[in-house]
Amino acid sequence: MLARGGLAEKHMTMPFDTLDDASDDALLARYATGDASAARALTLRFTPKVFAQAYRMLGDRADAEDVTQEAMLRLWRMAPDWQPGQARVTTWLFRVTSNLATDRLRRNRGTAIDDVAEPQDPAPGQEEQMQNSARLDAIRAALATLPERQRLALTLRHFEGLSNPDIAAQLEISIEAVESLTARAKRALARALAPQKAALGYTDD
Amino acid sequence: MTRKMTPTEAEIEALLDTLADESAEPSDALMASVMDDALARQPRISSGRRRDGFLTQFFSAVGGWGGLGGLVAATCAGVYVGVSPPEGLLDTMNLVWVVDQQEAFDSAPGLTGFGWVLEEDGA
Repeated sequence: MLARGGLAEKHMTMPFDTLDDASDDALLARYATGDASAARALTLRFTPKVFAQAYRMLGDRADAEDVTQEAMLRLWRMAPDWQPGQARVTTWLFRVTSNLATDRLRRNRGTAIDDVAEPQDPAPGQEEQMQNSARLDAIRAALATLPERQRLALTLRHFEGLSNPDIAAQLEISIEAVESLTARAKRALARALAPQKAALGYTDD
Repeated sequence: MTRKMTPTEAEIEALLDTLADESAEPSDALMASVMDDALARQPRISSGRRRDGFLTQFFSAVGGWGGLGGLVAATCAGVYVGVSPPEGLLDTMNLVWVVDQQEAFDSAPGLTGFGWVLEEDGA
């Protein structure tokens, strides 16, 4: 930004391409003042991230698209009230997306039993793939049973690769609390997956 | 027994990492509809200033609370001077009030009108 100061000074408004360098807070503020190029920049910046997260959690493109659209709608609605510097926009979106995806998974589970297709005899080689997909569906369902803070701590670590101090700062809790949350989350996941362990192809130790 | 059936922490972490490797790109249609939402929901205040209502404009025109207080004080002083003027000042209010009362009394058809007094005397 500073390096381009001279360039920006020559224009009444910042040239479009420099929006890529603008901070998330600055873009949201510009969006809230009616700047259409900020709307475009925010869409390009956040939609792929939100969609990837929603897809990881849901495993279904159509569901992930619905959740992405709803999460982004909330971002547009929130923009005028955003307080810069208080939280990170990415963490705010991560939480909103995580909660929307979890709600959808919990709702879907009620109808899922009827939707399950008749099991087919897998062709050789397909079996492993199906088992892998069954494992992912199982961990998705198990994640949806976690309380919000456990789920966020665990997924910020594994999906976003954040360190414990980063997670602590984002969730506004102590590092010890993060460690405790992730440990409890893993135990809860293990309990939730226990009944399916054999079906998931794990051998008992 | 149940403990043996529970996945280990390493297995859980491996599952989470496999899940983290799952990635998907949004379709062009999704990007377009998010963009449409963004523009449709965008506040329309590109000038950065909203037009205030009449009362708000009046309030700021007279100078906020200070100006409003001054206006109220001036109004009260005016009414006081009108009702009870200092010596040497023409008592306009009394003039108008008294004359009006007098005229009203004189010109109003009272109980003496229509010969009612006469009638009652006659009865």
